[in-house]
Amino acid sequence: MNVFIFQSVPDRNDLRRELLAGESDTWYATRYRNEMKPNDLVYFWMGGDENIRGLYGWGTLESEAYLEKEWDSYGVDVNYKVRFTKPILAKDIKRRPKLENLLILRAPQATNFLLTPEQAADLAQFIQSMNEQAPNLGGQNERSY
Amino acid sequence: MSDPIKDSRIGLIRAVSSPLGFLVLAFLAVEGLLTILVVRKASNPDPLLWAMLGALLSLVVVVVALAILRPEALSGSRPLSAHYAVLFSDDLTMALEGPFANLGGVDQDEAWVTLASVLQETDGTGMDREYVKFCKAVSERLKKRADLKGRWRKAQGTIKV
Repeated sequence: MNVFIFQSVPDRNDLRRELLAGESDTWYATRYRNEMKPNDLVYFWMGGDENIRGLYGWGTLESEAYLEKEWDSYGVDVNYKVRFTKPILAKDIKRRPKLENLLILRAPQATNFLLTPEQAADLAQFIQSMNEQAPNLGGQNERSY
Repeated sequence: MSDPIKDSRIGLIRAVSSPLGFLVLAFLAVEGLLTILVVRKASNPDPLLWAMLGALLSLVVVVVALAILRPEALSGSRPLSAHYAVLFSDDLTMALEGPFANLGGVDQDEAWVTLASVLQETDGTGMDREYVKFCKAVSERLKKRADLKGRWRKAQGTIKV
């Protein structure tokens, strides 16, 4: 099972308003399309200035990536499971040694990011330490959610 | 039979192959002149001795300052960023524009943006400053070549038709 971060920007999708637990949506799948499978975990990240930039919740993929005629790239269906009470900000994530090299911190313009198992485990641990609901990692194994 | 004076001059010229070598040679010349003056004007050598000391300190200050601020100036080499960034980014563009073009549309734009962004954000602790400058210069050139201005954001977030 893979773990992704999907990024939006406030002028397209303001996750402070649009991320509602239980709702479904279709996100762009411009990269890692072949890696996307139903039930994969996805964190939702919103770009912007350092006071809003970060993670706002998580959910799961509901489909593989697919293309519709009127779309300009592939999309993938997601279901929002958890909305954090407070965002996990990028400036805090950066301080974690295992997360400081996340591609989303170095290439903040892309849409889909794939985490390594180590990054995914550390991120879940960090979220838990911030008193937010983290995805269940199934013990110590980073790959079982 | 070799001429020792000529040989020593050739050796001297070879030694002055960098700004640092030239600084040292100039320092030695000044010190040599001052030494001659000290020997000839033995009655009051103090000002000349101070001048020799001043020249030595000046050389140390100049070399240390250059070593900190512009280390490449000591060796006489041009900064990596100015010299090779354009060549390297053009080579990257040439190698990648074909495969990236296969992606098409927003995927293609995003591939270029990601490449440029990773280079732009190269700024790790303890990383060589010249390398960081080089990466940023390559990034700027890539953005220009791929004409990315204002095109990438439309593919972020949810698909809205």
